[in-house]
Amino acid sequence: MKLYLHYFVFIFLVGSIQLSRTQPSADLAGIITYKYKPNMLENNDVGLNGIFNELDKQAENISFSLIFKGFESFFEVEGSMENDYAPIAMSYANAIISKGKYYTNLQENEVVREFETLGEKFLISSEISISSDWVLTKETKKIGNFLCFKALKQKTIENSIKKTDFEIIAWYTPELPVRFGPRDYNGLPGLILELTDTHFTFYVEKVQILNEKTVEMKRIKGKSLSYDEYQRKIQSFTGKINISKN
Amino acid sequence: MKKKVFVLMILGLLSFNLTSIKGMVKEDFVSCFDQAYIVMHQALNAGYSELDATWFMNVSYALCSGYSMDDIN
Repeated sequence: MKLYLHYFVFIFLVGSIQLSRTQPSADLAGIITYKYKPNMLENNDVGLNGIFNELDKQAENISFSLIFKGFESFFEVEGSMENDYAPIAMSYANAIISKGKYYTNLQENEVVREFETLGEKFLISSEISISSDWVLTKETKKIGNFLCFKALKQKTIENSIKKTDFEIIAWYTPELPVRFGPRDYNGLPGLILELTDTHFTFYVEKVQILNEKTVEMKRIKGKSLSYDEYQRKIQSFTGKINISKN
Repeated sequence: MKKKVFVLMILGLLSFNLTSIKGMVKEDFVSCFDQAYIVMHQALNAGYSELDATWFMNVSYALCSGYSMDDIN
């Protein structure tokens, strides 16, 4: 009987250790700083590349921060830089690169996005499950001192002239077991340190793991719309434009 | 023989002039509105959403006309 009890305690301990390794930690807190670079355009269009060159010159030092604590995270363009950059650079970072601010709550299974368009502020909430259909691979690379694994997912953007399929690539590290990342990309078994999105790549510049008590979580306040409600509202503005989910 | 050389020279001169004219036509003036429209179309082709493409169009127009983003906001 005593032997069985020892076996039971041993199996329980091993199980607990394994579980703590594979389950994202709710206690970790920190601030991650990302920079961005534009992905190469396939058709090398001169006009658009000219705009990119001009915008990237103005926005090259802009950073993005991801604050995470427990089951929550907040992603945005670094606010302290607002006064240091031309309004066009901040507008580019907010409207095109990050497409707003994101508050993620894993417990409530919700991502709230705040952004401005057509002169109005919008809050849109969506379920996390929509953004967590990743394909995990065994491919690895080192980012800083962290061993990262590659994960992939597909994303389609449909506009008035064509439908474009993009492959989203995330490099996440199980060494930081939190399910967060840039924008609304989350749900991987580790923090995303590099993310190739549809038109931009976010790469990590600084990782700060901090005491939970020192990290202040930001939240998005206000009544949020579902994506369908938002689309109906936008269509009432524009009449005919079909707005892509991106 | 002289006639052949003369014809070849004339043909050479003509083709040179035509190339120059083509070059001049290429440098024809494109208005800021046209340029902004082209940029919007390129953005849509590159897989940006309508709202993003409109943003690029506005920026293109502003930069072309010497305005800042503040002005077009």
